[in-house]
Amino acid sequence: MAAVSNGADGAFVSAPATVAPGLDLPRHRSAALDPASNSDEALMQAYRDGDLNAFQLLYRRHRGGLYRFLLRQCGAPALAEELFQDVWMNLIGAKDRYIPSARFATYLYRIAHNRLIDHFRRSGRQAATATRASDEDLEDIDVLEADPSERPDAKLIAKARIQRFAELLAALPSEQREAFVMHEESGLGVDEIAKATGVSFETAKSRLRYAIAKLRRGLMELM
Amino acid sequence: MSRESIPDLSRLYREHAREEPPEWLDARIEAAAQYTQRGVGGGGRRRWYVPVALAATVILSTSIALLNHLDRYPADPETKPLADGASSTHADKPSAAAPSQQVEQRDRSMSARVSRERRSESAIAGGESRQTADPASVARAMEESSPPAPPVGEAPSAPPPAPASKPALAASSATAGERESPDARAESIAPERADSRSRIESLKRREVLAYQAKQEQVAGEAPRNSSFEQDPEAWLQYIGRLVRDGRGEEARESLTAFRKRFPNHPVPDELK
Repeated sequence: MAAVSNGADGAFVSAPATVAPGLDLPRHRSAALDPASNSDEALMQAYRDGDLNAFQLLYRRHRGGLYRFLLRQCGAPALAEELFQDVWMNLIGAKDRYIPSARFATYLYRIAHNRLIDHFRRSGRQAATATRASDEDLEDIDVLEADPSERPDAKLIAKARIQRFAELLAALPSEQREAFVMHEESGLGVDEIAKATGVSFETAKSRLRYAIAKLRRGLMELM
Repeated sequence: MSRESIPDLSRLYREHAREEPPEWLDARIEAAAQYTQRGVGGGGRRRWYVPVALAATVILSTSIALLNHLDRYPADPETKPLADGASSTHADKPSAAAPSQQVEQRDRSMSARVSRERRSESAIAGGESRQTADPASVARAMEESSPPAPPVGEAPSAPPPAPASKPALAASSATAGERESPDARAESIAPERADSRSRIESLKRREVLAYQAKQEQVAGEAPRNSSFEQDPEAWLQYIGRLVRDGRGEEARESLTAFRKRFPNHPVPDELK
């Protein structure tokens, strides 16, 4: 998952994505492992030029975020897996036409957005609500901020907040949820979200703003 | 809009969203990427698609054109000995009888070709041509159109190797006159359909060329045996000329052959 931080001017800025932990990548000498050409765009170009290691590194960077994005938008793990595979297959098939005119993440999430629209159009329904966090899922959540010295019910309160957050996220309109998840998962800025979803900058900004406002308001009500 | 305004939201989202794609999906996608990459880097098959397709198209077109040409003008098996004879004539020392045999063969092949062309023309022209397409009638037509070949034993043993004499030339031209000239032959193949006109034109051109070639060859060689067989008087004139020229041995041989060929034909006293 790409870490996201705030920039000095308050705009959304994405930190460099990191390789998922626990992955044993081949240690061949290639452009993919060269720190100087380690950006997503350089990796994609390297893959286009025949470097398979570059694709592996690129895939490991974006697999989790893209999968969660699709899962939030379609709501069913099986369907998310199918869409996830389609998106990557599209990317592989179109690698020869790739031109680094924008961030790779924008390119990738635009493919995903189009695939989702295509799926919803075919299935004749709107985007499903996101998966709701079940109690079983919440059992595994570590509350990092939970201080042992705090009250015993702090963990329960944190779980309740996460559950409430999941409900609020699932209840968001599809476009607002899409903008919020894109931002959280890949660190796309407003202009990049606009490009990925094919809307104007103002529209993308409004969607993101509304999503954040609704989530925050819902959480405040819990307090 | 600042990130600081949603610190809790990002943290909550990260706590909430922890799903990962299954490993089998990772393996499948990486395998697909590897497969595609192998196609690009390894074989480079795609690079050869266009040249191979172009080459195949050219070969196919050439083959079709060649087959069409051969089907239209099939190689005449009777012309093969002629070609062989011609090449040997140029390459080696020709035998005495070779030129006349070549002319004979050429005559025969030309006649057969004309009859074939007529047959194909009539086949194009209409349904009534089916009768002419009958192999038996075609064979008859070929026999009629081709001059009778002299028996090997009866043919004059050796035509004089001397340069063409006047009677010989007259005889050969008379013989050629008996046969149809190329123009007349082409005229006889009157086009009944517009699409056969080009074929007739090409046939006419070929006939003219063949006729000219034959004339050139006949002009430089001895009188043809077939002309003597057709015209005994010309043969006798030729024998008389041999006698006058003092070539008695040749005259005797030729007279012997004449008597064998025309036993009942009167022979002038000065030749006896």
